[in-house]
Formats: sequence, structure tokens, C-alpha cells
Amino acid sequence: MNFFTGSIAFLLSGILLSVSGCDKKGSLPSSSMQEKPENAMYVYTLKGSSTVSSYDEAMAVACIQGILNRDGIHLYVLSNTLNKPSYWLDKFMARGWLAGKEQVPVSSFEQLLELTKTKLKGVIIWDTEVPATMNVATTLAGLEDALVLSPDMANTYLEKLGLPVIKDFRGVFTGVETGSKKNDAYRWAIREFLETGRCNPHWLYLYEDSYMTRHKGNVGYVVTRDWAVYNRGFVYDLSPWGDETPLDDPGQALGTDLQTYKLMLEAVLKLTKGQQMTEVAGFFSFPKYSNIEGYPSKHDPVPTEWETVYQISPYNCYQNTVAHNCFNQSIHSQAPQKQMKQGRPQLRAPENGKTYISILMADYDSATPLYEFMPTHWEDKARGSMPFLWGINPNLSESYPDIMQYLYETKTDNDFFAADASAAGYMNPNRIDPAYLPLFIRHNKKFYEQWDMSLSPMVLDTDEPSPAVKDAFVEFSPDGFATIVIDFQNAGGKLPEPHIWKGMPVIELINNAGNFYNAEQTAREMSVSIPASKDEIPQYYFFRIIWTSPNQVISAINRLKEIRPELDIEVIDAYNFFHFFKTTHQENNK
Amino acid sequence: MKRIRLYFLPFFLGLFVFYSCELDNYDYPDAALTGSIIDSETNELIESDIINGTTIKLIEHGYDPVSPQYLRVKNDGTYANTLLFSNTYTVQPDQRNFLQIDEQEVKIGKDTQLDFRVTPYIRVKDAKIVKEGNNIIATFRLQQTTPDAVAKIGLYAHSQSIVGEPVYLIAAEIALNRQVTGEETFKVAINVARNTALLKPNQSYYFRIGAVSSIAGAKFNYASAQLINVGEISPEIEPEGTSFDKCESTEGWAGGDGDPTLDSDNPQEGNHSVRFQSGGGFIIQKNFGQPVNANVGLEYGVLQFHLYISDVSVINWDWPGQIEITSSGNPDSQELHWNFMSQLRLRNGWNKVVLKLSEAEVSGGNIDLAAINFFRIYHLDVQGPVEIKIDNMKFYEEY
Repeated sequence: MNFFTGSIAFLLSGILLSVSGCDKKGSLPSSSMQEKPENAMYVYTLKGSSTVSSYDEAMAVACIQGILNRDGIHLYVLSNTLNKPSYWLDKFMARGWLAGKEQVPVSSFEQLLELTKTKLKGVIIWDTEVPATMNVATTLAGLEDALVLSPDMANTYLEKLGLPVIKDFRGVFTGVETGSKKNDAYRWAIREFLETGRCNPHWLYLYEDSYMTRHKGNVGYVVTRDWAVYNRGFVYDLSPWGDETPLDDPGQALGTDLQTYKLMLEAVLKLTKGQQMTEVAGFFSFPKYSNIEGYPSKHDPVPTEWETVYQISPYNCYQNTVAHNCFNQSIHSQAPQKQMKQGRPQLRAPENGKTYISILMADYDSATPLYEFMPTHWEDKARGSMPFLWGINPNLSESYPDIMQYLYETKTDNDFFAADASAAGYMNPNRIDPAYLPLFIRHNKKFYEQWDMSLSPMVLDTDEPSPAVKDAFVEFSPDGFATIVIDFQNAGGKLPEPHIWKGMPVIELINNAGNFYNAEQTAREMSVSIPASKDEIPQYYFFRIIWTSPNQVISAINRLKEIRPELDIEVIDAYNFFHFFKTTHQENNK
Repeated sequence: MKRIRLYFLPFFLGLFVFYSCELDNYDYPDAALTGSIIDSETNELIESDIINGTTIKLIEHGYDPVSPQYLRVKNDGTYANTLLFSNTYTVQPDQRNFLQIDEQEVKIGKDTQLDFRVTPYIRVKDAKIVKEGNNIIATFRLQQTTPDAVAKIGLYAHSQSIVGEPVYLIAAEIALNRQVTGEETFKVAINVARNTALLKPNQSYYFRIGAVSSIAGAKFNYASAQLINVGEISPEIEPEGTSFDKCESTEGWAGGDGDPTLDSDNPQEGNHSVRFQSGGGFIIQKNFGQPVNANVGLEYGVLQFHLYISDVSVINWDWPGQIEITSSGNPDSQELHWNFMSQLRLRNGWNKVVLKLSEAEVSGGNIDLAAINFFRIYHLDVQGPVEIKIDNMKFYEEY
């Protein structure tokens, strides 16, 4: 197009646009109810506004979704404000296991109720004055195939639905048992749902209740509840600390939350009987239980995370920590499970005088990082130009197998995978009762084999691994074991000396460059960990870098090479890294 | 090519302008929407700021796509727009200082009124603004309606009634970043004498108390502005305050080499000061048998005393000596402390030490300012003998 015709086209198109913009007769399409064909799925979009009613709507939709999807792929939920549900839907409709699946949009909540109410057996009304009842109601909804409604929603919909009220929690919990309405609610639920064996003990859901969230329409831990309902899991929100009352219940006797927490864990352990481990999905509430700006506490967030893991590990429980905004787990989980292969690089031999570095692209140990953060980093164009080990806890395949398969299917020859925090689930291995270590091995072996993993690059504990723990890891992680030890218990915990345990290298994962701000800072933090050495023996440094894109890490490595020109730095894949370390260690300890 | 463009461009521009004229022939706006933002519990208007305050989003039906219109709510919590076209609109508050409510469809005609009954993030209760001496002092309580921390409180002054956080001549603000209870009384003050460039004597100004929640995007909540004449401004005099220790007795004092003594040579107040002699580093302290109520708050409280040092050159000012007050009877618990290195500049002889409580660091939990029972001053890196005297310790508030 030359300039003349281009000018005409531009001006004409401007006029046409002006005309169309002034058409006052245009209108939005009307919607009508549509039954879906057998092979189709309903697609419902949450309002996502910052209102109480949006929150209540999301709660009800999660119940419907969890119940419906138990029988197949029936209801997918999108969000007006968050794009990952549509991102993953597009991905799996285009080339994945949902290809060909017909979508039937549902245009209103009323329509959704009308289409699905025959699958619901009743209604549970929670007490907005006792936020814990929202979690208790979610648990009961899974057990009874029921819809959880706030009192406001019950006023609007109960009559229209014509469903029986299975339980109305308003005014039920008065604090008569423990002095705390919150703890009365959970203790009642423990007796009714766990001690009776009604809940599935493979799942505990640490989902933040409405106290800090409902008034803002923050549905981060509401949209996840389809997964709890689907699995008939127990939902709770308690403080792991016994030395400080929580923000949401300052009048409780000191330690009441923790006592209830332990009652719950004991009840779950009795149900699992050492036959299976339990995933605790979800994270503690930062403002309620830890020290963040505006909400002073004795305990910072990281110690609170560690305390949670410290408390739950003896009960064969492991964390899937950050799990908010994880939509549609009741659908993704139904993707066919596959045995995946990641392949192995050709093993080489270390060279004298080298400084070997390997990078763990870390902290995809929980659902939100995998579902929400990973796409940004994975789509980085620089991926593949440097070898990286991506830390993804393989137990996440219980909720998002399709996402993990997508990563395996789109990996380059320089992308490798290993478990992230601890193993197939974030726990403190030293805290597991020796009697349950065979269960621990069985559990991890299953996931490591499914995902072709043989490295454990970030075992988190309060002390160096015991011989029994190392023996356990040798069974499923023979190619390497790296650890971060933080002695939060002040019990004299320390890092292990680098060594080889029954053929398995045991080293430290260096944590000081974990948070990436810019290439310069990360390079300098890495440099601090690398002492000056004129030794000809090869040196080994294994770094953790959290939620960062390949091009940023590559920039940091390049900068490190500039500020440490005396070093002959080579970044190598983790398999060769552990193999080199083992070779060097054995040669120098003959 | 250039010439051709010159020939044709006016033609098309003419078409465009002609078409634009046709656009302007639509009817004049014939509808109006007015209303108020009302506290659903107290039925009072929820005040805001005309700039950077509450706005209401309107989406006119019948267009796709359509750009939303935004109405500004006035300071007093009312709003009006008389330049709308009759139609159905989707209406919802946008920027706000209250909990969001659902959007609603409203048919807007000639005189449509729409009030929003909502819950403010914070209610400013029992607001009083008075002039005391050279100070304009606001006292008030806050009622949080959500568990979110209160980020900041402030007192704002301006010659116009639209005074607020975005529009002020002078402001006094305190960062809270914590939850508050309904029983707490807050005090924020503006010292007129120190701001005569902005506040002129005998002139009237609007003063308004504000508070903002830590909820993301929250706008300020306010009490109503008050018109106050700042009156005459008198010369600043040192407040009498509350005596901490007049230093007319050595009871409770310890430290230095040997026992402390009373000294009558040039006392700064009364007849004596308390004197200590040290051959080097010193730890001087007083345990109060009867706790002292300082009668000050953390925000504006000041600890003042006179300190005599015979030779400051023997003191290593880079060593982190401290001055401490506690309500635990011991150091390091329920303590406020100030560092020598960063907060004191002393000379030989008598020095007036003025320490703002708001600039102190906290150790071992919060101090009870109504029951202070321990004072300590120490410095351990002193390279020679030194004589130290302390006199006239007191607390007062300074704005």
C-alpha cells in the first residue's frame, strides 16, 4: 500500500469507526438457559468484584463445582479478574486432553443453580459471625453433597431452590466448650467428621476463612474449595503457635488453636493408620498468625511456615503451601495420569580448576506457583540456553497432572525436573516417626517414579538428616540430596558436611541468592558464597533461585563471571553436578 | 507524492469535520442523577475528598463497547451530575472509603435520586478540635468496621472547606499500621507558632480529621471540617510538663565510682543536681520506688533532662551507649531507648537533652508510659575520668 491509498484507507476507517461508535441502537446479546450435551461442560465466570456477594457467590459455585465434577468434567470456572483459568483452558482445549470438549456458557448464578440443583441434596447455612463455620460448612458440603450459603444468600435463594436445610450453623457455636466459638466449631467438626471416619484422611485443607477476606471480596481461598468438596476433605484455619493468641480470636485461652490443631492431626493419623500420607493444602493466614506490617506478632512468616511443617510432619502430613487462586482442581485432576520421562544428560567427568555451579529454579512446591507463576517463567525465550533444574513437587500431580505433563512435553534438553521442598510434599523428614519411614519411602517412590525423578535438591529440616532419613532417600532419590537447615527450634541443628551416603551425594543447597531483585545483586550474593580458591580441585555451588525467569538468572551468571574473573565458572545440569561432586569427593577421600 | 497528499487531505478532513458536526446535533443532556453516600448504621453522610476521593462508575446501556463515566462525590458525601442522557445505566461506586456494594441497573431520567447505603471502612467518632496555646489539637476515637489495620491518621488544615489529605496547607500525620480499639483516644496536633508562614495569626482555617484503612486502594474517612480562628500566636515557652525526677535527692540513684552525691554548684533547677564520678566507662541508673505517670503519649511525648559532662573528648561517640526508660523496673524489658551515637550531640558542661519518645527504639515489649520506674544512661567506651551530673528530668508533649 503506498502512502496515498494508505491515507485514504486510514481516513475512511476513522470515519467508519466514528459512525459505528455512535450507534445508539446496539445492545448486549440476551442470554437463555441451555442444557448441555453429554460431552460438554458448563463454563461459568465469577463476577470477581470486591463485594461480599461476590465472595458468597464464589463459595456456592465452588460447592456446585466440587459435587458436579465428581461424576466427570461438568463445570469449569473462569474469573473476570484473573486470567489463569482461561489461560489453562485455552491451552488444554487447543492441544491437550480437553480438545474437542464443547463449552456451554452459563450466564448467571441463577441459571447455574437451575441447571445443577438436582445434583444438590441440601443447603448448609454458615454463621458469618463465626468465620470458622464457613470451613466447617465446606467440609460438611463435601460429605453431604450440599450447597454452602451465607445467610444473605439463603434469604435470596433458599425458597427458590426448594432444597432442605441440612445444617444451619447460625448461633450454634457459643464458646461453651473451649471459651472460643472458633475452636468449638472445629472441635465439633473433628468429632463429627474425622473421628467418625467420614472425611477422606488423605486431604486436609488449610483454607483461610472469611475473617480477613469476605468484606473485600477476596476469593483466593474460596475458589479452591471445589477441590475440598470433591475430595470430601476436612477444611480448617488455625494458628500453629501456642504462645500467642491469633488475631481473629484474641479472647481465646492461650494455645487453644494449637490444641485443636493437634486434635485434628491425631484424628487424621488414626484414620490413615500409617497406610497413607496426608496433604495439607493451603497456607496459614499471614495477618492472623504472623508478623506482617499492620499486624504485629511475635513470629515472622517464615518461622510460621516452618512451625506449621514442624507440627504436622510427625503425623505423616506434608504441606502444599501456597494454594490460593487455584481454580478448577476438580477438573484438572481428572486429566489422565501418565508415566512421564524427562531423560538424563550424558554424564561427563569433572575438570580440575573449574568452579561448577548448578541452579535450582525453585519453589514450585505448591499449587499456586505451578498454576499461576510458572507460565511466565516457562514461556521465557531464554529457557533452554542454560541448564536448569526446575523444582516441582511431584505430589502436585494429584491436582494438576495436566500442567505438569505440559511442562514435560515442552521441555528443552536443558530443562530438568526434581522435587522441590523436601520430596513429594513439604515435610521435615527428621520429624517422621521411624516406624513410618517405610510409608514415607513408598509415598515418595510412587511420585518420583511417575515423574522420572531421582534428585531431592531442597530438603528442608531443622537439623542435618539422620542416617535413617538418608537411608530412606537413597531408596527414591539416589542421584542426590541437597538440604537447607534452619534451626528454628534452637536445638543445635546444623548443616551436614558434604558427603556421599550409600552412593547418594549429600550437600547444602545455598539459600542466600534465593530472592532475585536484579542480576547485579544476585551475582554478588552468589559471589559471597564462593570463597577465593586457588585449589585445583573442582569446586561445587548449588544455588536456589525462587520464581525467576531464565533470562534473569542467565544475566546474573554472566555478571558473576564478570565480577569473579579469576574463576573458571561453568553452569552445569544438576545430574552432572551431583555426579561431578561424587566423583571429586570419592577421588579426594580415597 | 507530497503534492497529491496536500490535495486530498483537506478533502477528507472536510468530510471528517462535516461528519463531526452531525455528531454534535444530538439532544442536549436531559437527565440528572443526584444522591448521597450514607452510613447504613448511623445514617450519616460518609464524607470524602473532592480530589482523589470517592467516585461512582456509570456504564450507559446500549453501547458496545462503552467507556464508563465517573462521577466525583463531594467532600460532604453528596454527588450530582446533571449532564446525563436519559437511559438505563449500570451504576457502582468505584474509588471509595467504604465496603463495596453490588452494581445496580438504574433508569436515569430527569431527576433521578440514588443514595448508596454502605459501611465506611472507618468511623471517626467523638472528634474534637480545639486551640490550646499555640496548638490546634484534635482528639478522636476510631471505629474500624473491618479487621484491616488503620494505616494512617491525620489532621489537615486549609483556608477552604474542601480540606483533606489531598488539599491542605499543613498536615500532621501519624502512621499507625495497626488495628485500633474503639476505646483508644487519638491525639493529632498542629503547632501554629512553627507554621506561621502558612497559618496567619487571627485568621480562620478549616481543620479536618482523617483516617485511612490499609485495605488496598482505600480512600480517607473523615470527620467534618471545623472552622477555627488560630488567634494570636504567643512566643514559645518550655512546657512545665510532668516531673520525672527533680534530682534533689540521691534516693534510687546508683552508678559511677562510689556513691552518687548531691551537688549544689550551678544546678539547672531547684537546689541540687545528682553528681557521679567515673574513671572511665559508666553505667548510671535510677530505680523509682513509685512509678511515674509521664502524662504523655508516644506520638508527642518528650523526655527532657540536663546532663553535665566534664570532658566529652574522652567519650568515643561511635560506641553505642544508650539512654533508657522502662516500666519493668529493669533494663531491656518494656523499654524505650535512644542511642548516644545517632541522637546526642553534647558539649563540655551542662547540656539540655531533649529526646522525642517517637524517635526512641522499643526493646522487650511496649513501655507503660503511665508507670515508668527505671532510668539508665550508660557508655562503656570512655578513655579517661569524667564527672557527670543530672538534673531536672521531666516529660512534656511538644507538637
